[in-house]
Amino acid sequence: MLYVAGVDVGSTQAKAVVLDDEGRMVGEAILDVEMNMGTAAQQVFEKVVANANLTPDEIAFTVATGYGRYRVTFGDLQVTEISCHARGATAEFPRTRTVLDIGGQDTKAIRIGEAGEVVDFAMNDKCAAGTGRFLGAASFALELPLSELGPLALKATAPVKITTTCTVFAESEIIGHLAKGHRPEDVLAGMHYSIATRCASLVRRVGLTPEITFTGGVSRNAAMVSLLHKVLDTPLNVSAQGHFMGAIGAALYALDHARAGTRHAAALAEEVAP
Amino acid sequence: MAQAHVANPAPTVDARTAGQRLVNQWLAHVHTAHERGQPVAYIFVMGNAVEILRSFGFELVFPEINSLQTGVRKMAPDFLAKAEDYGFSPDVCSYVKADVGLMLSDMQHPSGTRIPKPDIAIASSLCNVYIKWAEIWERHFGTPAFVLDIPGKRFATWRPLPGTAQYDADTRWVEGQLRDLIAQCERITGTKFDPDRLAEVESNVNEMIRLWVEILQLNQRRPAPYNSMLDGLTYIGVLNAWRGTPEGVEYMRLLRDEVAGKLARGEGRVAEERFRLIFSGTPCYVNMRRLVELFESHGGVFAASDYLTYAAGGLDSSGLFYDPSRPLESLAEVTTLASQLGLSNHFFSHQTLAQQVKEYGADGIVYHGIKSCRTVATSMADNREYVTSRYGLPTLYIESDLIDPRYWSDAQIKNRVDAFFEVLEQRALVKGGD
Amino acid sequence: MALEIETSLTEILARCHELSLRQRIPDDEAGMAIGYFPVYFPEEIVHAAGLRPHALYGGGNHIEVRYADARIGSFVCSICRSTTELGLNGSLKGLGGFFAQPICDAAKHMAGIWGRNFPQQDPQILALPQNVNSPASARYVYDEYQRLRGILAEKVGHEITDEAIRASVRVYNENRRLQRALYAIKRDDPARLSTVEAYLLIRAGTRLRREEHNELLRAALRLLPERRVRQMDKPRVIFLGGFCEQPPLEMIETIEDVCFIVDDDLLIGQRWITEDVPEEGDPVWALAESYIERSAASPVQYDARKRKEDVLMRMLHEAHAEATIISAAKFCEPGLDDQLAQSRWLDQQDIPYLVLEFEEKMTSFEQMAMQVETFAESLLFE
Repeated sequence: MLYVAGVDVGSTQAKAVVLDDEGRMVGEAILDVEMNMGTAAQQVFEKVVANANLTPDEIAFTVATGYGRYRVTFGDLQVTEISCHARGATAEFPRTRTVLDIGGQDTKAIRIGEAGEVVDFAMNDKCAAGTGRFLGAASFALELPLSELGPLALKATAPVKITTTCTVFAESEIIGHLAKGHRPEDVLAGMHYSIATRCASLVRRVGLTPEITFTGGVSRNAAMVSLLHKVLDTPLNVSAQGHFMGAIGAALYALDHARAGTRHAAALAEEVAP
Repeated sequence: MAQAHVANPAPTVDARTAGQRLVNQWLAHVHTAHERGQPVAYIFVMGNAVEILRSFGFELVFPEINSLQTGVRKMAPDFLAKAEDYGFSPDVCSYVKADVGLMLSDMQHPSGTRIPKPDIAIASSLCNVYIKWAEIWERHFGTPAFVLDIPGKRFATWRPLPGTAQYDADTRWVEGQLRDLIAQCERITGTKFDPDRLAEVESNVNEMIRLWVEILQLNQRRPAPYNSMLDGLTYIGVLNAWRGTPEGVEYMRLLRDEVAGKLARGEGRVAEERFRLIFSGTPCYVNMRRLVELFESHGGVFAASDYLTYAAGGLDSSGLFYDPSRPLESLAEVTTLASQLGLSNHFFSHQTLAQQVKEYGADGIVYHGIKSCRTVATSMADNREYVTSRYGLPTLYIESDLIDPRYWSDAQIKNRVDAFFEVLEQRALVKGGD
Repeated sequence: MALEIETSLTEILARCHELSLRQRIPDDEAGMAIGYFPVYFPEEIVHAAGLRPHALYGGGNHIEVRYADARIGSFVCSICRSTTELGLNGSLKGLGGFFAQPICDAAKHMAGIWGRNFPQQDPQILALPQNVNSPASARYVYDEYQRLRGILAEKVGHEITDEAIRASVRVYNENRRLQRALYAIKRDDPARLSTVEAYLLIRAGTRLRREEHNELLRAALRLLPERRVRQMDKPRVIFLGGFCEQPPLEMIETIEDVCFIVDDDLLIGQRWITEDVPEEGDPVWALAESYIERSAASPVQYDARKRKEDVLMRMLHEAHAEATIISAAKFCEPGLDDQLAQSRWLDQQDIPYLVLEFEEKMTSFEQMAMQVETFAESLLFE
């Protein structure tokens, strides 16, 4: 049995998965990045290997992704999150032609071709409004954990229009709306809508082609899923593992390389054997 | 390429060294121009009637080059801050702000040159910011601006046809303004216009056109001997400053021979050329090496760039040579055609880019959007969308600025570039039927 | 009687407001409206062809931008973005033509965007010159106007005669006289006609046939002298910055709460020609020559004879204004550059001014109101 690992290192979180040679997930781990990305990568790798009841030597191939991918000294290859999210999404939803990944720091829209290859991509990596960070501001202003924002937003009856385009000013705008008597769920719905429209714009930039798969940490937010469906007027695939999609895609690339390696080894063995 | 002849003796100096010497010489001339009684012209790379100015003996100053140099020398932030403190909005073109910073620094340029005041300033309509920039000089130096209006393409498939009424109308207009310019130059220098001198300058430019077109075309072959977005930048610096001079011609011959030699020996710019790319936009002068390195590390070379048309004053684009027997009329024609066939392309460049992809055997296009340059960046995303969907070409969009380092995010740009090469590799695999 | 007059004026203004907000080309006009981007366009030639010139002033603060963000860079003025949106969302599918002028680099790109996305509308640049100081300038404009005439003639399938153009010139001369009359009231008796009202009256013309617009303006001008007016004591100011992207009406109202705007450059393209265009002789030549010799000023038209400082001084003087509000649309390079030159100069002249930045899509004005009120107070207490 062959095992591979995918490590996704961002500036705030590090995630890792281990797959067996049938592509089944046998371990997953997630950590907050406290010291630096290199250390977090090492720690999350050790954690996921332990979760899979394995030792590091048993991992045949490791692919690193995320902004910190070049800090992963123990990895065998670096692949961008763009390719990894595309790979992970198509593995789970084979008819995926567009991927929307809303992360904590950036948002990507990826268009995928017939052979499952990345054809085009667009990124919002300059402005936090339109990423999970915008919701982070809401979490702070409303003093609610991120996981509660979606369910609360779904209860809105009169969404408030959020005018600020800046995450920094978002907090004060939220507080202002609450002070005027608007209900938190309505303000939250407005925040979600703001993000949804920005992301929809990004998707249109690469060309909206069904099926769309929604990945990344924010894909666990039911209100966002519902709003994106409305704004894009298209249903979205959502994985239970959306949060780990980058690491999963990385691990799938690792599997390709590991398999090629064993084929090569087998071919070599054949040549060498009498 | 070469017809059979006796091999030339090895040149005593390579093009890089020759070019460096010429640039230093030029800056030294600029520094002492007024001392020596030479009048000074401030001009822009697009649309500047250099030929007329040379015939009157003006020393040429390119404020765009002054500004880009502040970026190259990593000193832009000081100049930009001075301009913003003075009151310029952060959204104003960073070249303009760097120049304002220079004005506020008593014209002491980081190159060590003290840039003299302009005796004449020529702003063409090829970039409207040129005109606003010239208005700043009007106020700071008291030098009146000469606005040279050069009609451009009216739509993407516009083709100027000699012999038609439209061609006549446009070239007549440009010629009329060139005559006005000549009168202005006569007033400023106190000398009469010398059409023979103009013809002489134009003959030099003719040779430079020939050589530049050749140099650009040499890169259509494999492996590309130079990177248009790094080597190319040094080439145009020299050819702009020495346009119309025998020294400029000499430099370009040397350069052409060197590039041709590299091609003949199979010496590509990149050791292992994996992908050939077209670049659309301007360099990021504060990170020009890094930008190219991000691509070259993947075996990607910029075989061509529209920048080498714009920033070389459209030297390759008129499709015409000057006619020394009609120096002024042909100057008007060449200037107009260069504008309509090359220099007003920013707004309509999708077809040219697709054409270049074919000519250069390119695998994709990289668009570089610039924060403060609306001439380059306004509709780049639309252009890209068109090219991607209509021609099915892989394209990449990255953003930064000409010289403002605050807009360069290395990790994010690297991420996009890496992903782009993953796309190209995949495509190559798929095409290779793996 | 006063109530009747006010009611009639209110009706006229309500109609103007509705017209100003109109973005879609009505179906019965499909193919007959010729769109043009700011600032100035020789509408007479379009009018003479039997077509309706349709000035494009952006989507204002009522439009939701859904598609245009994917096509236009982030550091570009809102009017380019919203106009592109109007194209992409189908509002302008009824246009029979589209023209952009080389007022700035972003505007030139509008022709490129339109060409790639709506080629059936035959988009073009009308290459008006940035050099109007040459003896050859008028001839060049004449040639470019003749080119326009040819394009329009082909569209309508018949020649556009000199006589037809002369007739259009007469209609437009009347229109400009009526506009000047409005501005005279605004200047001499600002309590009688607010800038928002004058603005709506003028902007309505971009959605009507000029003959109808003339009727509307005449009606308003008949009613205005009879209007009951409450005298107010507010500082008299010049407003600059409305030559292309338009400030929201609420912004103008915010300023008018505390100041009289006695002259401005709002919708200046509609009032670009400042005197009658000659009604005799070659009408295209008359129009071309008027562009050179009888025209207003803006940050996007270079003219050595109209130094921005002198133009501003003259405006202040002729309108008996004591201060200037220099506004600029966000990311508008020419506007921002001029803002600085003018404010420096006003500093030297010791003339008070306020610098503002706006976007056509603004919806909240509290901050701006505070700035403007503070400014007005400082003027009153001088």
